[in-house]
Amino acid sequence: MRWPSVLWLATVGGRADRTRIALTAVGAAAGVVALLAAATVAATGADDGPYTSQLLNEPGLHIGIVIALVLLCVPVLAFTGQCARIGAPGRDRRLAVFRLAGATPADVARVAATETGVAAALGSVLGLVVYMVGRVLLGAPVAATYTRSTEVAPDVFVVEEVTGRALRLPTDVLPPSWLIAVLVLAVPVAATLFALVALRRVVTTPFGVVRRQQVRPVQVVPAALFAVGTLGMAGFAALVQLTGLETAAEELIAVGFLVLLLCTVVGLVLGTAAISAQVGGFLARRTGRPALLVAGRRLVAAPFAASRSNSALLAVVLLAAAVQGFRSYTLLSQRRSGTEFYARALDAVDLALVVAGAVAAAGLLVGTLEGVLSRRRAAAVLTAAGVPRGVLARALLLEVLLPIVPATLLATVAGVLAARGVFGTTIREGVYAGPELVDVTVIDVPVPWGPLAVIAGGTTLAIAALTLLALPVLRRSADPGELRTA
Amino acid sequence: MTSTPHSAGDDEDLLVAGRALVRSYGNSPALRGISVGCRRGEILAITGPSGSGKSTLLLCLAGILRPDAGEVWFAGRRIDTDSEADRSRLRRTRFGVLFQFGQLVPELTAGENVAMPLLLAGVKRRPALTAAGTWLDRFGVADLAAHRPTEMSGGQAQRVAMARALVTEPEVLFADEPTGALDTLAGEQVLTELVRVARQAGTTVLMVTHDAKVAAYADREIVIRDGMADEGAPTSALRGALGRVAAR
Amino acid sequence: MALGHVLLGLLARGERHGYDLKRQYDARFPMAKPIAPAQVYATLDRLLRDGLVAPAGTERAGGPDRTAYGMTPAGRQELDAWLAEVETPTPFVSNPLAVKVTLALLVAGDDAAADYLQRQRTAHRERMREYTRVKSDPDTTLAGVLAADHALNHLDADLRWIDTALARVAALAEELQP
Repeated sequence: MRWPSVLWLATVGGRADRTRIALTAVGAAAGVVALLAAATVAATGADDGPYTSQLLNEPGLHIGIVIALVLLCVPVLAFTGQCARIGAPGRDRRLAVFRLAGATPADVARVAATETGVAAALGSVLGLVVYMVGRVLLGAPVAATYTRSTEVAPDVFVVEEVTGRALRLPTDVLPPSWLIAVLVLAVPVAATLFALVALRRVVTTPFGVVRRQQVRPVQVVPAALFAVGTLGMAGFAALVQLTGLETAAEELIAVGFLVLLLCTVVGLVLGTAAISAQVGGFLARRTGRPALLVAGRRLVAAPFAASRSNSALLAVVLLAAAVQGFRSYTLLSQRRSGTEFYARALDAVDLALVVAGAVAAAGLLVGTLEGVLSRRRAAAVLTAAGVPRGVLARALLLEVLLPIVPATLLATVAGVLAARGVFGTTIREGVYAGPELVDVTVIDVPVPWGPLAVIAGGTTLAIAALTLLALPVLRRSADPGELRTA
Repeated sequence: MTSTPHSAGDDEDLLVAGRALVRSYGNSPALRGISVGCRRGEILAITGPSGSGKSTLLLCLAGILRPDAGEVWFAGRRIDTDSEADRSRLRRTRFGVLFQFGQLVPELTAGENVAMPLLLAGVKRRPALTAAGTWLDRFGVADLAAHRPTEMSGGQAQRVAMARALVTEPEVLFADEPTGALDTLAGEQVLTELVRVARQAGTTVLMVTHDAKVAAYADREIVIRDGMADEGAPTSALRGALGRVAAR
Repeated sequence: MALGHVLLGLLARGERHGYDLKRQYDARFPMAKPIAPAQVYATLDRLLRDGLVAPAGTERAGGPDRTAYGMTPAGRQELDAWLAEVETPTPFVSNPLAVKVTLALLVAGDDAAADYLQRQRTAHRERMREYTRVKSDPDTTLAGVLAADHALNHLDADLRWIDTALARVAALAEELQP
């Protein structure tokens, strides 16, 4: 298939297609802004500023912010790639006619991915504009009190509080031009790649049937992975001692931890599919309620359908829980020397995680919408046969929530156990009488039940609320026009 | 028998009736003021060329589509002005619907598909599945109760769909090309059983088809052309055509 | 269909008496035009003369209706050859319906032609309903079902031909329109 035709086919479309393109562009714009912000922070040095935030004033902390912002881009770009899978009926028909005319499934995937690429390119440029304009708009210095540490002698720092004019954001710094160009170009490329990956298993037959090859989920391996990962992280400190790695290089220990983390996340994601199939089948075999029956059987038939969207969200939940555990430990251990800095830093991290979670949840919504649209004929027929709208709506809600609720709980538990495993469940504090150590008290690090409940409960509520947004689409998809045969 | 929908004094006998129905899709008109009627216990075939509005007529009479103008009557009551919820309830309790294909939930087993209308009515799982099994047996597909629609042939799936349509013992069965996707013998089997069960239970059947051999299973036939009933009077186009050709 | 070949076919399974052959014919071809017994016996005589059948018993007791007949090897060959022949799909339309419809469209006035066509179609549909009832009747033999199928397909073909003829006339008139 020649590129001009691909481009033309990618841009032809109706209202639903425009919505999809708009969503993709917004996602790409957000990604570009995040990346440019990261580049800006990375380019900020000790000579720039001063800034109102301690995080920005100390160059050593920049790396954390940069990593956070870059990591934030991943769900954003995955989301834009996932948008390619929204099956608008018009586009399905177009692609089907395409296939009848002799295009291969690869051609069709290429067209869809190109549409994403073009939309992402538009969004990229938009993001650059937003960034540039934002620099100017938010660049006014304000009067504030901030802390600054100055090196008076090698390795000796004086931390002082200064009141004066400072910037809120590093708007006085501009990353090198070549870096800006690379980032603005990289986002559409990455979005297209994500789209191609997202469409990997979707095949549009010449008759417009969008078919996905399904695989039965394995149960033992994910459970084992999750168990190994979580328990490993929970007892990480003990594990390190046992294996004698205490004296090994820091990097080695960090790598070990990351491996365990990876095990947990992979096990969780794969396990979600297995859990949904099991729970769905169990409920479907016993229930007399139509909504539950349909939802359960749908989960059994397509357990991996939501895996992609779920995994991003579960990763975020796990990290959020871990951060809460870390916060609980840090606030306790630093309470003597002042927790304000850490509290503020952790708040920023929490904020970033909320944003990432929102993006992941949006990805979930996209997946849900795609499922609703691909089942529109079935919805039309059921409605024609007299199935009430409420039953269809409840089936959708159950289908989304049944897998995600247990998975969220598991992710929360794994996260907090990981934090407690690495940093310890107790702290030891010395009691001094003058310069002499008199006693050592052991204090338990409290489990942050409150924040954890907020994380788990909040995620569930957010998903439920977002799924409610899909209900109007469900209602409109049950259109009797689908039923005309003659 | 001609295709006049109802004569004076007949109206009370009509179980399902449509009067002066008009319905368009966007700018293209599908029904242009057609009136039809069907008596209780009758098997009525609605035929006509493709694009003539047959399916649209059926969907309007079943209360699935609201006509742009005109009235739809069932059992002496007007139903086109009912709310969607009321019409939905009508469809799941007193009507049955049968389409050409794609009407079973692919994730559910045949038994669960057939039991669905009963479950919706509040029947418990076990008795619902038992009743479903009985109906599947009546159509000769009892051994498929635990299979999914994707695991059976078109004819078998259509028989499961018929069982689903009739499980609530509806007063009227609306069928749109019920054998359209089947080969001759499979289609014949489906039709023969449909007629047999309908006669036994006294169910009224409205069947849309383009195939005269399928229409021959009905008691009466209505022909639709361009959204209007074809009473046999020459259309204006035909009128002129015959004259011109004759003059050659 | 030559009656001689049909009788040969009925003798393929074994010997039969003359009256039996008539009975068998009526049973197996219920939808066909009925034939007189005299025709059957005359045909049997011809077959006898041509050496395709022979009396089974040694004597001809009574008339042809009482005699038992059997197929000769020559008769077997003749039957096999006929069964292997393809029936020429005839291009000759001697069907009175086709002739009448054509004439109606070309000669009669609009209303008369349209009225005739409508009544003809209604009659066809009514006949199709009859044949369908026969087909659905569990007591109908396989032969009966096959005959009914055949008739139904032909009636359906007639209906479609009438529709096509009308469409052609309408299209032709459009062409002629100035």
